[in-house]
Amino acid sequence: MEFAYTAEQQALRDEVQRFIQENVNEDVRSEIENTDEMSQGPLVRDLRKKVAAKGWVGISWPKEYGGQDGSRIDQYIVEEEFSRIGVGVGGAGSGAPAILAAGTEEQKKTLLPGLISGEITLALGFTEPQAGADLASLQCRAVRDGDDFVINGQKMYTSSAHYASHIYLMARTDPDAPKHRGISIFIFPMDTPGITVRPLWTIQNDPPAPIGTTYGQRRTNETFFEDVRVPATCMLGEENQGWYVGAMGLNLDRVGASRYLISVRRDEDIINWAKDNDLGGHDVSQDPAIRDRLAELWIEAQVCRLMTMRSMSLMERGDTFTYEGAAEKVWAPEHGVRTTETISQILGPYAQLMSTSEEAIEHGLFAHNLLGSFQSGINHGSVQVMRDQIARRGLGLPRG
Amino acid sequence: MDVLLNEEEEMVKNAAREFLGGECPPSLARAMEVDDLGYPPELWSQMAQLGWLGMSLPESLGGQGLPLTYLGIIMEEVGRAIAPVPFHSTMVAALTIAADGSQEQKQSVLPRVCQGDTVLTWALTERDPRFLPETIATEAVEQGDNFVISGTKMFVDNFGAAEKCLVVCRTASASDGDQGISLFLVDTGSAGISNVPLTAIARDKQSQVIFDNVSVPRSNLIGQINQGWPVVQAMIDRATVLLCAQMVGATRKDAEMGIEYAKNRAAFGRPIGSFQSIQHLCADMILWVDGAQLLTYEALWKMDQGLPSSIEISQAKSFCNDKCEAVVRSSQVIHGGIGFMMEFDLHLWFRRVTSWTMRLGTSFEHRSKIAKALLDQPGRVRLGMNLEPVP
Amino acid sequence: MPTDPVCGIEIDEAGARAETGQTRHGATEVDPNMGTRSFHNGTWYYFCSLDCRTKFLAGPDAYIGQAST
Repeated sequence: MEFAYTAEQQALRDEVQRFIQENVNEDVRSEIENTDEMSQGPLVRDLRKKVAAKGWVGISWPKEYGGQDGSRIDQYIVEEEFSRIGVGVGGAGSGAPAILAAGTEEQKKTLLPGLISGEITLALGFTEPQAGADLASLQCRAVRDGDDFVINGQKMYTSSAHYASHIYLMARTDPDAPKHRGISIFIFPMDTPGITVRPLWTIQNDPPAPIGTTYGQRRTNETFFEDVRVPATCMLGEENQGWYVGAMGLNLDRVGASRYLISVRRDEDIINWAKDNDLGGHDVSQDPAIRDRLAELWIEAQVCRLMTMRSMSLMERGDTFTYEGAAEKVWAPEHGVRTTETISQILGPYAQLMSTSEEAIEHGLFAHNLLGSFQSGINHGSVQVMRDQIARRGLGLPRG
Repeated sequence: MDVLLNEEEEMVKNAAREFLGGECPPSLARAMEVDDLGYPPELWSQMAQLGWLGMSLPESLGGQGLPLTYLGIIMEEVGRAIAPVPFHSTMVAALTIAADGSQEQKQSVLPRVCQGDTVLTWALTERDPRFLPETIATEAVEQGDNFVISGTKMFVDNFGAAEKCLVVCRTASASDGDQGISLFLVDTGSAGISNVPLTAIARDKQSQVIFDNVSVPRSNLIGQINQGWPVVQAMIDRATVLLCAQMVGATRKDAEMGIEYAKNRAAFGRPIGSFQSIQHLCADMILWVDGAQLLTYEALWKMDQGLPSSIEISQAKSFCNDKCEAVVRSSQVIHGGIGFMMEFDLHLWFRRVTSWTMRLGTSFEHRSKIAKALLDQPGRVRLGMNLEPVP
Repeated sequence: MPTDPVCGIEIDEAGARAETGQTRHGATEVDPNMGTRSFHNGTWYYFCSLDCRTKFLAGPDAYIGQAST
C-alpha cells in the first residue's frame, strides 16, 4: 500500500494549480459561469488549446489516437484541478473507453482524437422514457437495410444533444432475442437527417444554477429518430453485443475525479464558509452539534476519495472491477446528498435562497445543490441498481 | 499511489489467514473466555515463531523491522479469527518501549517479546475515560531510588496474563497542563497490586487494577520524568490504529458470515439473499467495511511513514465505531433468531466488535478532534490535504 | 389532427414537428411547448405533455384505439 502521490505527481499538481492561477482570470471565470454548454465559449476554447499544448489532455490515452500514453493518476490530478474550476479536460467522456475497447481501427482513428481534444462530443442516447434503470428493455429500433441501418425511436435525457456533434446510441437490432442480446450501439453525426431534438428545461433553469452546482444543468433534451439512415460502419462492436459494450463504457465512466468531486466539494464549501462567515453574528462553526456532524461528513468524504483511489489503483494495475466502480457510485452520491441536506439545516432559511435572490449565500449554491445533488444518485446507474450489482456480481447473491 | 496491498503484503496476509484458519477455530475463542489465563501459550509461541510478535520491532532486538503496515495486516487477520491472544496489548506496550524506552529497557524486554516469552500490557484510563492528561490521577511519588505508585486504572487488557505493564502516572500537579505525566514499566507481580476482573460484552480479559503503594525502581521510568504525555499520545495513536485493523478484520469476517447465511437460508420458498432488501443490506455491509479498511490502511501507512497521522487515525476509529457496529448488527439481523443463541458462533464476533467500538475513543471524541482541526485554525480546507491536529 | 390518446386533446402535429432552430451540429430543434410524442409499435403518438405520455407508456393498450393518429 502506498497512499501518497510521487514527487513527480505532486509537481504536476503544483504546475496545474499555477497554470490555473495564471490563465483563469475573472473573464474566463465569468464565461464558465455563464455558458451552459460544457464551457465551450471562446475564452474557454482558448484555455483548452493552452491546456492541450501542455500535454494535459487525454493523458492516459494512447498516443496514436491523440493521447499522451501517460498514467491514469496523472490524468486524474489534472482532471481534479480543472474540475474544481468547472472545466472538464481530463478524459474523453462517455463512449471513448468503449470505442477504445470495441471500436474498429477506422472508428478509433476518426473519433478518439476529436473526443480527446473536445472537438467531438457525444450525446449519450441510452435512456428511453420507459427504459431507465431497466435500460435493457429499450425499444428504439435499428433495422438493417443493405449496407445501412434505419433507426426509429426516441431517447430521453440526451443532455448534450443540443451541442453534441455525434450521438452514441443504443438501439434494438434483434427484437426476438433475449432483451440483453438484441442490442447494438451506433455512433453517428447529429446532423444525420431525421433527428429531432426537443428541449427539456430542468428545475435548475430559472433562476440559473451557479457554477459548481451538483447537477446544475439547466437543459437536457429528448431526441426523436425518424427513419434515420446510417451506414453499418457506424456500429460499435459486434451486432447484438451492444449491451456489453455499453455497460463496459459506463463502468469505466464511473471512475474519475469529477464523479467524486461533485459529491465531496460540498464538504469543503460549507467548512470553508463556516470558518469565514456567520449568520447575523451567529458563528455556526462553534455549535457542538454542527461540529460533530461536519466531522462525520468529512470522514465520509475521505471514504469517497479513497474509493476513487482504489478504483484508480485497480485500473493502473490493469485489473478489472468486480464491484469497486459500483461502490463509488453508491457511496459518493449518497454522501453528497447527506452533506447537501445537512448544509440546509446549518444555514436554515438562508439555504433556500436561489442564485438571483438578495441575501443568497454563495450565489445560491447551496439552494441549487438541494435541487441537484440527488441526481448524481440517479444518473449513469441509480444507487439502487448499483447495490443490485454489488450484491449479485460482487457478493454472489442469487437473483430473485 | 496504489492503495491496494502489494505482493509481499498480500503474501503476509494470506499466510496469516491460512495459519489462523487452521490453528484458531472459534471454539478456541470460546474456551479462552472461561480460561483463567485467557490465551493458549502454544498459539502464542507459534505466533512468535512465525515472526509476528517481532514483526515491527527492531531487527537488532530480535524483530523483523518491517513497516507498521505489516503489523496492521497481521492484526487484521488476528481480528478476523478473533484469536484469543494478548497480541494487541503486548504490541502497544512493546512498540512504546521500542520508540521511547532506554537501551537497557529495550534489551531487557523486547527480545523476550519477539521470542514469545512474555506478555505485556498498558494501563492508562481512569474514572474519566477521556484521553486527556487531566484525567490521570494515579500518582507516582519519588522515594529515594524508587517511585511509589498509588491509584486505580480501568479497562486494562490481559493484566492477569501480563508480566509487565506500562502505567501512566502523574508525577507533578495537574495544573501544569500536559506536564507532569510519566510512564513506568511495572512488574505485574509487584506487592500492592490488586486485579479486579471486569465482565465486558467481549468476554475478554479486562480489569480494574488497583495500585496501592507499589514501588518501582527509577530505572523503569520510560522517557523523561514529567514529559510523558507525548509518549502516551503516540501510544494511544498506535493502539487506536491497530485496534481499527483488528476491528476491520473481525467485521469483514462477520459480514461474510451474514452474506453466506443469506445465500443458504430459505424463506418464502427462496434464499433470503435473493430478496433485494437483504441484497442491499449486504451491499452496504461490504461498502462500510471497505471504507473502514481504506481509512485504517491510510492511517497506518501515514503513521509508518512518520507523517502526521493523528487526524487520519481519528477518521478511521470514528468510522469503524459507527460502521463496523452497523455491519455486525446487520449480520445478526440477517441471521435472525439463531444469531442470538449462545451455541451459534456468530456472537463471538458481534460481541468483540461491539466492545471494541467503545475502546480507545468514542466517535464523538474522535470527531471533536477532527472538527477542531477543520474549523479552529486558519486557512481553507481541501480534501486530500494534510490536516494537522489542534492541541 | 391527432389527439392525445390519454386526455383526448387535439394536437397540432405540424406545430410539434416544426423546426424552430438547429442544434449546434445541425439537428432539428422543436418548440418544447408544442407537446411531445412517442414511437410505439411502428407508430408515432402525440401528447400534450410528459404527464400524458407517462400515463400512456405505463399501459399503452388501455389507450390505443381511442386515439386517431
